[in-house]
Amino acid sequence: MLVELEDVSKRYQLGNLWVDALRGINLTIERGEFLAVKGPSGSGKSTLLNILSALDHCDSGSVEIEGINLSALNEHQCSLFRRRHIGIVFQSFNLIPVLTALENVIYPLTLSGTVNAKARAEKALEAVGLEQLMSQRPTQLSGGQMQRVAIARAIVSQPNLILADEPTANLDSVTSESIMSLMKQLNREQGVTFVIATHDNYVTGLASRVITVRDGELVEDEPSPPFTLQEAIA
Amino acid sequence: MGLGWKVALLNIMRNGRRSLITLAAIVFGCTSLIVFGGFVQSMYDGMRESMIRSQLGHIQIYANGYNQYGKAEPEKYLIPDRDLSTISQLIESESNALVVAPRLNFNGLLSDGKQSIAITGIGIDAEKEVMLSSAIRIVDGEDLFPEDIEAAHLGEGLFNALDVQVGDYLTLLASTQDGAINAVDVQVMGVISTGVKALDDRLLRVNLPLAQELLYTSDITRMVVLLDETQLTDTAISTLVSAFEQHHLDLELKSWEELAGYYHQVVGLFNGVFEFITVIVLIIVALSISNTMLMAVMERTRELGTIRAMGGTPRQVVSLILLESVFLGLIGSLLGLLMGALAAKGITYAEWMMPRPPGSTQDYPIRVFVVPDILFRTFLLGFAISLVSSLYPAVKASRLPVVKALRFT
Ligand SMILES: Nc1ncnc2c1ncn2[C@@H]1O[C@H](COP(=O)(O)OP(=O)(O)OP(=O)(O)O)[C@@H](O)[C@H]1O
Ligand SMILES: [Mg+2]
Repeated sequence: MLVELEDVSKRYQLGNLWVDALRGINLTIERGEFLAVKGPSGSGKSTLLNILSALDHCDSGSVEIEGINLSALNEHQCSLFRRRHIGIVFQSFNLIPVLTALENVIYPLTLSGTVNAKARAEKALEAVGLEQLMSQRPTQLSGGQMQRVAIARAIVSQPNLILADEPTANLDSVTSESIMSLMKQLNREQGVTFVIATHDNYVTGLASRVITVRDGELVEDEPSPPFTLQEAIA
Repeated sequence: MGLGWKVALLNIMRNGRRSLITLAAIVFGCTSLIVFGGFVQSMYDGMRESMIRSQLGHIQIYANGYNQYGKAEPEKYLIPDRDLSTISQLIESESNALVVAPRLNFNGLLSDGKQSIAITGIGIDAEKEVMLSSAIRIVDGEDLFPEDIEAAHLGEGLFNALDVQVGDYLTLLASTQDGAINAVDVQVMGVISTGVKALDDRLLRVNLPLAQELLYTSDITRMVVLLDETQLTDTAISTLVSAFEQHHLDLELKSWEELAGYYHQVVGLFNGVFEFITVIVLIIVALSISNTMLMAVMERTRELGTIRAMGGTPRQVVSLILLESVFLGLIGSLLGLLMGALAAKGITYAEWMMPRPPGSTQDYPIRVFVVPDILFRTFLLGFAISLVSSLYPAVKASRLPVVKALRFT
């Protein structure tokens, strides 16, 4: 078992109003899953992903990833935990504008002082099909290409879990599809676990399991229908 | 963290205008410290040399006890005539003295027939004194020559106070060694200025034989020694002290430093002023840097959030920001040194005249020294202040909640 959430709740204060972003979530995720999280806007998808990536702490309940209890970690330890176990892909790519594609992928490795960073980063960029564009700056790349760099950056430190919050929301549908099939391919070939928050039916169609949150509650949890979109295309 | 340096440098260049503002603040700070420091140093130097070369010499030699008791009974603490040639020879052989000149000091009254003014008189060896007191300026009239037995130089203030022209005769009164009143006639040969107004109001210089005749003595008060260079003073004093001891001469020596109390007061005062200005400049620079660094952090909130999301620790974020200010500090301080040195040279070269300092009677062109010590100190300060003033923005950046930072647009 990779992830285990028990009765996880999170509330935010908005002025003098309290918003329950998550209420009593119970969830386990196995290694190698390709999990989609869907739900209407404001339902708590991002909050869930932030808690899984130790960017945020829950108010009650317990979160264990790789047997590590996240509530017990301080800021510094959270950083080290992310560095070692988590890759994050953002909706708006969040590449460092002054660095080239290759350097963006090297960056997380330099944070951890990894040797051989350049070779590993080149391999990651090859895996996302960008071997031709390594020395381009983010501004010289298209949205899809930027998201590929971001994915390379997320997989380069070989995390067990990649969290992607609406990774296709800023992309057109053709590009979205190619990004999703790239993720799916990484999931299949390298066994990386993905958790993807999305509104996109195409994404949920590719997933091995789809959970639905509504008003902070987990209302549906089911494996994808046998005839997935992916197979229809293939 | 090889990439960290690159990111820091590229970030500095990415936001050129902001970096320029920060650099300008550092350069401004360094330049003003260097120029002001160099100016103060040149002032010390000018004041020191003008005191040495107008009155003090580098070393003064008295009969033992003169400085303690001589004020009350000057006649008992004179250097006897018979020792003079031995002393002169010792000084000339043992030190690299340019000039060794005898002086006989006395107090008296100078009268133009209508009024009398108290004067501070010095009997001098006119030929030697020309070299010794090269900073004394002749405002009117001519040099003193030993042949002009009755000739006298009057301080500018003294001259103006009397109803007298160059060439006129005045009466000089003083009490002799044994207490009798004596008078001689002196002829105004010239008007002089030492640069110190208080002195110019009372100074009278005559040839040594005339002063000795007036006081009825053949002894002198002191020997004044002018060396090649001011730095040689201390070594010269120690060789002379042992040489005098060997020859059983009962003398005491004083360096210009011991005699120039006023110099030390001014140095103390200006060092205080300089420190105060340094602090103010540093505060201005620090505020400006920390303000721009804070803006830099704000602009990059999202990027910093991304770095944290990739596993960058709060400490790594701090060092990332500090690294930028290390670069800015290095570049700014180096530029500041360059600008400061250039400005110092430029100001000196331009020869602007300085407003006359209080108590002084001469104008000087502004000179600004380029002092290695000050350059070094300024470089360290410039570098340190840019680091210190980035500390708060850096820590602030590291404390941003990551989720919030990532949502920041
Ligand atoms: N930092 C915060 N402060 C206050 N309220 C917050 C904060 N973050 C989230 N919320 C609230 O928590 C709830 C869940 O938000 P969340 O961002 O997780 O929803 P979401 O499912 O990701 O929505 P979307 O599909 O629009 O991205 C919302 O009501 C939101 O307003
Ligand atoms: Mg969301």
